[in-house]
Amino acid sequence: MLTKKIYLTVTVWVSIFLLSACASMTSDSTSGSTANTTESFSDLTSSVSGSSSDDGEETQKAEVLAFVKLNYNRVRSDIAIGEGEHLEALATLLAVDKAKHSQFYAMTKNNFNQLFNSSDTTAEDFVAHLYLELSQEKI
Amino acid sequence: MFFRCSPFFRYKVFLFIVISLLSSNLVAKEHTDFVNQLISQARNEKTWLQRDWKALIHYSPDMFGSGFKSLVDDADFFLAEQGQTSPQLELEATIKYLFNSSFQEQSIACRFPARVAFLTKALLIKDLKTPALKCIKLNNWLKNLQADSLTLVFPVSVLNSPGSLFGHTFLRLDKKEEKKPDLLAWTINYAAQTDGEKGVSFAIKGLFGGYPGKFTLAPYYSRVKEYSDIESRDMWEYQLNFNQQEIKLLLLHLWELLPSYSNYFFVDENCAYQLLALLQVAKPELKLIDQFYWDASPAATIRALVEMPGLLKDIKFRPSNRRIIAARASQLSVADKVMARDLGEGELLLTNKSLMTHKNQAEILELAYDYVAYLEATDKKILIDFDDNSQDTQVLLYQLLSARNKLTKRVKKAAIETPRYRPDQSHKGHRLGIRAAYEEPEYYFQIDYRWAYHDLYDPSNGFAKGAQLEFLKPAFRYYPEQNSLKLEAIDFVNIISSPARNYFIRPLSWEVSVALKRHRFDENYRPLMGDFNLGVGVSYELSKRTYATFIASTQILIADDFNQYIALSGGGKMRVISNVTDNWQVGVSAQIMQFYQGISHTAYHFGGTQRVSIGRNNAIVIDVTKVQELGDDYLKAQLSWQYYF
Repeated sequence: MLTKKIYLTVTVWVSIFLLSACASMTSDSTSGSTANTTESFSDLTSSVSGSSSDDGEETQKAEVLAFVKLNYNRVRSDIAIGEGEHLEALATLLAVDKAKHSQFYAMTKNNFNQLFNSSDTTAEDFVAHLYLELSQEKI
Repeated sequence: MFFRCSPFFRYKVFLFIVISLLSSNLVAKEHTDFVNQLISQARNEKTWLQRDWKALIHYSPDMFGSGFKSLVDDADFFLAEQGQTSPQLELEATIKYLFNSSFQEQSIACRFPARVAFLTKALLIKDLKTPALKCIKLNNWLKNLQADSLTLVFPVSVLNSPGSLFGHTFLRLDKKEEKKPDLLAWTINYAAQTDGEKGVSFAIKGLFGGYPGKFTLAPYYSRVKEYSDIESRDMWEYQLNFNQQEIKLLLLHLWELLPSYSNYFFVDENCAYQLLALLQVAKPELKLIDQFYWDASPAATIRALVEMPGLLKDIKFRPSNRRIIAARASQLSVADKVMARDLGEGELLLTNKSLMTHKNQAEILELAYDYVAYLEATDKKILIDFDDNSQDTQVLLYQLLSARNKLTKRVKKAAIETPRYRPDQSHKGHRLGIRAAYEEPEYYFQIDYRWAYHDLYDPSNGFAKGAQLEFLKPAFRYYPEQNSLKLEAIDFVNIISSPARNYFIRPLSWEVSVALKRHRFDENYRPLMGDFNLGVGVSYELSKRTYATFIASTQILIADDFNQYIALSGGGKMRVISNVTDNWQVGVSAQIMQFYQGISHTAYHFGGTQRVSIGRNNAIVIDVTKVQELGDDYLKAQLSWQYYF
């Protein structure tokens, strides 16, 4: 009889262990990427909550960097190919005029090797370079 | 500083203080009158019983049904000491704080803007008699978030992550008019703040409200990355019919909730429930949350929303990255797929001649890149067996893109079919089963109830193929010849995950179950035993509607009948299931297990099952099996009616 009791206890514990609804287990997801995700937004959210300065340009730069950092692989491949949902979002974040989006896509595709000069190019390098290109191209 | 002032100046300061004290006294008197007047008005009209007020403070009937208790557990959320349990005291305290003349008025009004809006409307306050509200922080915040459309997003469940078994829901604030890309929209998420805790303590705390639950904001792109890229979950986007004014009210209330926490309960007070509560504040006429007193699974809450007339505007399907890769791969020939995979795994070099001259070079490069990026995002790098000369993933990713960049070809996006059934069109989670059956040599009737959620032979529309998730299923048998009713089994947990493997994505299948169950030595002796199962294997799609699973498994039985109370066995099983039509499913299965510890015996079963669904929430199931458990073999046949509610 004792065994049954032990068994029942174990069962209940195991079922409890497995039972869980819609807890967003950000931390459970693989690799550190999601952890970084949440971190990088605390800045953005605080800018949304109005605590940071009203410097529009700085806020835009911070938003662009947060976006690129989190979606680096996506942004990079969209640029290499010349289109994609993440590239459109990037253009919007940079406040590129809707009519000039395709021009922007062509410019970034053509400059892929300058924007990403090697596999060591970081998100920061890329964003800095991108702003430089933008100022020259006058998009 | 003071002593340096001239006497005359000192006199002026004194006069100033006296005058301001006098005037502030006058103002205070006026305010007190106003407050008293409002309170007596509220008492006459019993304003605190209005649905809007109960929604704003999240009052829910308490355990005895006589009073109220707010689901918010943070003391800072209440202005009255007994505010959590008394709608009236909280309302009166709010009036006092808001319309009092003290300096706090601004900060309190800016902390609870939705309450201000409610009181102004409910008590017909024309003149606030407070200085014009200038909540700079709040207004900036609103300006950033204000949206013209609201979307409820449902990333479907995946069985491989225990935290997502039932799926998840969150809200997205869209700016449709300015055509802002969805990725850049803000999302409102309610989640337990677990600080990365896992395992048993995670589950216990989650079940009994040990974690604080909080609302957080994040851009949609981070959610897409989390669910679609990392967890490979398809997402359904339900655009809801909320106008700008309602969204503003929702945001004002969200502002009140952001700093406060509520204890998080997995089963009832979870993400899905809290989002409904938030939606209800914006549209109090929706009677949403009353339906979910006992439990609220995300799918059930979405079903409730979809069933509200006129609430749904549009539904979109966002396939997971895994599904996109599978679709892209299906457009290529087998040889091209192999090339892409070899490229991604470092076994084929970019300088390969047949690749350089291939007419589908762009497609192959893109697929190879997506594959490596997928492995990286889902942390499956172990699967890639790089040889020593090859370089690491980052270099490979870069080279693939660099090569693709040189080509000007535009690759046509793979068309991805939206699944014909959405999660809200699936059967409901609770199930009642009534079975008439024959188990050699006796007839019996069985009644069983299942608390949640889905098994392989339940109507499969709207569910992932090959996924089973069952919790708490007690079963009783009635034997008419003996006129006896017996407990047959209690299944505590029974999970099967058998996603199909393809060229690129090769997940393992697994299953686990814990139950208290009768096992048969002979027809007169079927004792209750503890029954644990664990299995690992593979699944393949044989056709669009048919899949097969092969599992190696082990079973542990615990009962007084075994040597040292425990019997161990190992063996294997296979299963082929086909959805012949959306409503008709057939399956065959076979299993053989060898007991080697506690008892020496071979157990097996083989048989077939058919299910026909009638409407969304009824099904007839017939199964016939030849079984050998701990004694001789016997035949078992069941005719069942299953009702989902």
